[in-house]
Amino acid sequence: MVIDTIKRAVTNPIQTANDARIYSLNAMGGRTNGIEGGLGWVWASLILFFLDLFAKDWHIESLFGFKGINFKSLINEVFSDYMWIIRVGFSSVVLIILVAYIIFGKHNKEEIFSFSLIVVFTAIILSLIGYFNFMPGIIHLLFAWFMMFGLFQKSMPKQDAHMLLAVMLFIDFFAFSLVATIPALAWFNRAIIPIYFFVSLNYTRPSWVKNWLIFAIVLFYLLQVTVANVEFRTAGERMGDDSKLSFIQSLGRVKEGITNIFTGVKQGYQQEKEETKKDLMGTSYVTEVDAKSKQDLGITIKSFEPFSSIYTEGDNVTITAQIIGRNIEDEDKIIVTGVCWGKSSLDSKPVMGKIGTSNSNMKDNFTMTISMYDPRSINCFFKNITKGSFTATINLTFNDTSQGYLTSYFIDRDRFITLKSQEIDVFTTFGIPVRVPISKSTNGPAKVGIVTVDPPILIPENPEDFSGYIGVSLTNNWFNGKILGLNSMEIIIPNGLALDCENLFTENGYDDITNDKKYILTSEEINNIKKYKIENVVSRTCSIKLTDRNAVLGQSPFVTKYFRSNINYNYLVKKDATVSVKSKPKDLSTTTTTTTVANTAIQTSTNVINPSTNTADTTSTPTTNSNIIAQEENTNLMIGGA
Amino acid sequence: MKTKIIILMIIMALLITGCSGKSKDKEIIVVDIHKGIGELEFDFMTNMPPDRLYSKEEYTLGIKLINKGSYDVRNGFVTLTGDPGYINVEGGLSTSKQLTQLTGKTNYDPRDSEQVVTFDSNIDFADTGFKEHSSNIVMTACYDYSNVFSTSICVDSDPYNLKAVEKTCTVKALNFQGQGGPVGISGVETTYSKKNDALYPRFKITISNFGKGELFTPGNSEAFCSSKNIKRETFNSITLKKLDFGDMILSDFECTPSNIVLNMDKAEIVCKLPEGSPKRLSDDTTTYTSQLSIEFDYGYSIAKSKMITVIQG
Repeated sequence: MVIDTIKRAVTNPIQTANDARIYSLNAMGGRTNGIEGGLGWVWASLILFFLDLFAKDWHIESLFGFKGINFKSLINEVFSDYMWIIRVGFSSVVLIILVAYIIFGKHNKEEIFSFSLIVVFTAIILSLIGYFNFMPGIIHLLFAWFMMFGLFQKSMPKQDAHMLLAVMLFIDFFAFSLVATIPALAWFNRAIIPIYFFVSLNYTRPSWVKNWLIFAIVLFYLLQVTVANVEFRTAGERMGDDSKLSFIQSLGRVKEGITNIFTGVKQGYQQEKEETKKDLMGTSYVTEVDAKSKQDLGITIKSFEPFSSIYTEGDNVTITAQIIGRNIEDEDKIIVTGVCWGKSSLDSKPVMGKIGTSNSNMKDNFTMTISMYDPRSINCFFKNITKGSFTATINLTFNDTSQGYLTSYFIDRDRFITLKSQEIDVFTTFGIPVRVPISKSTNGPAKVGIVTVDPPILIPENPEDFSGYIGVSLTNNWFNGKILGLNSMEIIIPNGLALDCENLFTENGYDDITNDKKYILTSEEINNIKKYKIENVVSRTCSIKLTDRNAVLGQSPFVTKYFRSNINYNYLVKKDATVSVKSKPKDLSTTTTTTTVANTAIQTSTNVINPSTNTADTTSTPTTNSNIIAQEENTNLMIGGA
Repeated sequence: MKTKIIILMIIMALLITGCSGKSKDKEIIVVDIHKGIGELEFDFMTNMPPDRLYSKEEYTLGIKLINKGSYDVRNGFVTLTGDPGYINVEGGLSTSKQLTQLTGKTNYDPRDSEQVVTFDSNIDFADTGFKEHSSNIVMTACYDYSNVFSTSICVDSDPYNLKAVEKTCTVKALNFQGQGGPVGISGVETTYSKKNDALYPRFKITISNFGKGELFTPGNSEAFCSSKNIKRETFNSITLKKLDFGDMILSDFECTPSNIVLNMDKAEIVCKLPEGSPKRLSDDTTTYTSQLSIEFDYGYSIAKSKMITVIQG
């Protein structure tokens, strides 16, 4: 084959050279029938791209780092001296050659036209290129011509290939420079748009490499636009520091953008969740717990203490809680449900205890009713506690009601304006000491806060001119508990006003004493709230409208009114007690024993008891009881449960 | 004979002892009542109500009003406003009662007049979760009042001191501290303009609100003590009823502004005799004094509150 090649090269050098050219091009990219180009052009264009990008760093500026033709400088340069005549003449010569080509070649009209176009274009480039960077420009020119011959001319009609070459040349030599004059389009440069790479990729035959490259490009540009906040400087000059820096920065931003996407999505979800929860839960309005309100409302765990503070491993522990309770209505009782659980310092797994008022009624959970000032005791029982520090917790859940009210003042609007215009202060005139009252709440596990328009609230002649709002919140008031859920929220507003949010509150009659209008939170809204953990605060706000001016003001020029709220909720209160659990004293026996828990008798003698048979044995084997903890060598230790 | 002489001597002795001469403690004192500041004062009567009230109880709220001014209280109302849900007044939130017995002082009876007004109240407790509640009850009194002012004004026929004649008085700005009411004349400045041998007086009168209440146009007491809409022009507005100076009367003067409105508790009105008025003064006289009298009516309102603790019973 080699000898044949040599023979052919000697007899027909032109054909051989052509074959060699085709072979090398095909080797780089393969045959291009349709879009069947090889990847070689892709890599080549990438190589050219990076060579231009890092020409300065690699000290190859004489060959690479092409930056196109700068039109501004071009005008100055071209017509700066008499040499322009020569340049134009040169171009004319090229044109003459073209004509000859047309006459002496077998080409159709489209081919002739398109070929002429690219030849003229090339000639113009050649004539201009000397003003800027000659060799880099020549290399780009040749690269483009070779790409046309080697890649896409085979996959399309010649005239189309010629036109594509013309477009490529225009973009590479002129477009970037032209667009760079527009500041808003500074991103349009060869650093961001490697034209040869795109074209070669387009005409490469399908492959997984091509697919991944396309995906990477799409993602890259998508991130550029949406995340990276691209700010590229004009690349009208050589593809040097600015473009390179922009590109490197762009890559960094892409990476940052990808990271931010995932982080942002997560944060966004968390934030959205928190915002939704906050929107749903609301804010805590300022309120003051009235020190003179009923004390000890709700359930209070007065004490939670064990019989002893030190136990031995395997002991049973009983911890007694003293609780008192008081309903907001003195005659009513409070229903309390309790559970006990504990955790050893050496074992993260919590254990459930039994709870009850006496040994005969110890259960997993216990329910009882408590009357006002009727202290009750509840026991928590834990079996066979392990050594270490054991913390027992009693959780009590109960239903409670908190009340709150907000004092406000009302006055005829026109009267107030007139007084104000005379610089008369209504609060001073009527002897009102507190101008902006703060809502008051009952004592208890949670406090009620209420806010509305700052007083005095102006009542106009025309109800349509009135606008107001009310906000009600329930806020956790105890550090050792949390709000579990909302059962009902009632708002009572002065007669003559009405709530204006039908989707949240519905009318619920009138107050017996004040004849004020009552509203309750809808069941749909309560169910909505149940989707989220409340724990600390839940609130709702609503607009207020004026329905009866005379009902609000009555006969008084300056009247006091109240906004009230009663909220019923479930509350959890808990208390901890810690006992120290020592290890069982060691026995002098050298026999090996196993330690078990539960359902075996306690024995402190030197004999070893077989848990299975509950008889003395010189040896013992671990039982299959699920509560088996450990095996100890050379000890005679046994624990068991009652 | 001797008996007759003795009887005559006894009679003479009686006559002599009966004559005690000039008695100083029987001198009649005439008090100038139109002086100083006086207004309607009111307050709750002792323990009516007490400072602490218990729910489910009834109490009588008593207000004692004392007219310390010099004029009759006309069209007077007192309104008592309770606390909704806590203190109900006469079955409702607020109630008004008329003031009918508060007459003004007289020169011969300068004592203050009084009237006691009582209100029935019942106490509730709306917020069962609380044990105590601080309630603020407000009293408002609204009434029509008057002001009578009179003083001597120097008439200077030679305001530019062209005549070499000793003047018996000098024109100067005069200040006053009220005329027995919460609102009164606080100053008068007199000037004269001379034209064609005639004198035209010009008075700059300052009216002040010496009290702590609010002024309004007379005849609006009931509205002012209620929740009714009060028009702006009703507030702080005074209309002169009388302005006499010598033989000049109010209608002879041109007063500016025609509708007096107090601003920051003061108002100034300038009343001048227009040039060419037939009642102009002659400048061909010596300096003398003449009486200036001013009267006006106004409405007045005062308010007061009291903090009461209501205890849940």
